[in-house]
Amino acid sequence: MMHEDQEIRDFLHTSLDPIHAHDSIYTKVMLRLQGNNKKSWSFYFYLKRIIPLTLVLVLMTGIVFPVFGSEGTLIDIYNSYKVQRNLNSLTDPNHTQGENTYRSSSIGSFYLSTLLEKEYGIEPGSLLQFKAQNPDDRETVALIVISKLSHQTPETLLNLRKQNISWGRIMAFYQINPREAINHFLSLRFKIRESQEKRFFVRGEVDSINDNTGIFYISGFPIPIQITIDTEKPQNLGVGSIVAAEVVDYGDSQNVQALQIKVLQEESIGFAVLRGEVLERDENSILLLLRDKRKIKIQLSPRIMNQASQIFLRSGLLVHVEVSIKKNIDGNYVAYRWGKIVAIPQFQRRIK
Amino acid sequence: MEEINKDVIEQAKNGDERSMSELFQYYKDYVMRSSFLYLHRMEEAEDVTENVFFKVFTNLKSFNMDKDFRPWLSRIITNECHNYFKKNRGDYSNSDDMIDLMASQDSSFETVKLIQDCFKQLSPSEREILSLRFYQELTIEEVSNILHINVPNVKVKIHRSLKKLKELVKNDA
Repeated sequence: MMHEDQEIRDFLHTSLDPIHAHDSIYTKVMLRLQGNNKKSWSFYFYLKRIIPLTLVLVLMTGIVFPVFGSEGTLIDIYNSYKVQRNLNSLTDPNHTQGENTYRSSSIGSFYLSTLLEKEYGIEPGSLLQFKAQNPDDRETVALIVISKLSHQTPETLLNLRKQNISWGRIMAFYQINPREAINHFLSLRFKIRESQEKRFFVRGEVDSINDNTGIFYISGFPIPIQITIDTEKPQNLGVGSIVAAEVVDYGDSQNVQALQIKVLQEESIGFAVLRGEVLERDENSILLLLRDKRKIKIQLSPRIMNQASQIFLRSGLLVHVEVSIKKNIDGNYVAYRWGKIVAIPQFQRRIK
Repeated sequence: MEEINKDVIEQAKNGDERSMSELFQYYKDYVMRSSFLYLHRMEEAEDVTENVFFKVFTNLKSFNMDKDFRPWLSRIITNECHNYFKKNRGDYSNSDDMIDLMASQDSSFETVKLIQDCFKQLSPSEREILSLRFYQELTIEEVSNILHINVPNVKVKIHRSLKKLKELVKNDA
């Protein structure tokens, strides 16, 4: 066997002896190696140096400069995202699983408003005004919370928001720590989710009332309000009354129960035609100089603030306004329904 | 064939071109002949030799200096031949390079031609295992490592390949 092995070995060596590799193969190999080195150099150079460097530069620029326009810097964008995510969780429908979503969202909105009134001392009128301009409850919450933290009026922030400036940028400008704002949101969310019974205020005009069942509806609030035997029912409660009702929702009934009902004492002036010059105009009221030189301030009710016609009411304009007016307990005129607004032509102004 | 001095490998590892050249000169025929034995064509054997040295030089840094160099080189040769054979599944049986070469060289041409013809009739795996064992002169264990088959199996394959070669030679003679 060993002999045979040696034979085959000798045969192979003998027969292959004439075969030689050319030296040119070495040159080819070296050329390939050089090309390979070049390729790998450029690969590593670009992939491992240039690309990360570019990314770092872009990130650093994004962090320092507001390269994202009204969104601000990269940090502002991240803070806006965090704020928005926490705001979204305030009205997250997942936690109302199994409930009537429409019902719970209606109650949630009023409950949230009441919480904002109580926790942040916001006037109901102001709150209605913000809500009229921001139908999204979450935006209103951010407006109230961040205005408190920044010691700015909500109107200031509202103007900034109208210019599409992000919450992240606003917070950076007023040096507010986003964590602080988020803690406020989390606290509100905790109260909304954890409270077994929700007490809140509903204000508005009574749309309908059923004396037999003790159920009445307030305009803008879709849930029936039940007057219980413990509720002190005002004598003058009727359709058209302007009421402020404190109600409670136990979550186990279709209705909410009225705890307190207060009819706002208002003197109905009825339909009036006012002709005069708009002296001042702010978000929720106008000051009119009438022809008899009387100045009257007319508050705009939440209902009419959304009407397009009110945009005519600019200061300096002579107007002919037909309004349904009531006088409230403080002696202020409150306009509830518009008839029409007519701007008086220029030549009539000259005559005047 | 004796192993090259390890210092040469060490220096080639560090990119010394003279050592790389020395390494090439020392093993070039070994690589060429091993490839030829498997592929039976000069042109292909040259291509494989080039690829083998390219791989040797690019992967030399990963070579473990505590081990022998030749089995590592044989593994690269075998892999490259496999790859080349897979890529070019053409019929190599008509190749007469070897016979032409013998005819120009040897006085005992008839004998060489006979055995070489028989060698060609073996399957690539049989040629491979005989080449590794008898030309590249690797131990059974080294062949086992390169081909990823166990030692008894290597022995059986070698035995069968040799037996087949003998029968072919006997019949042709």
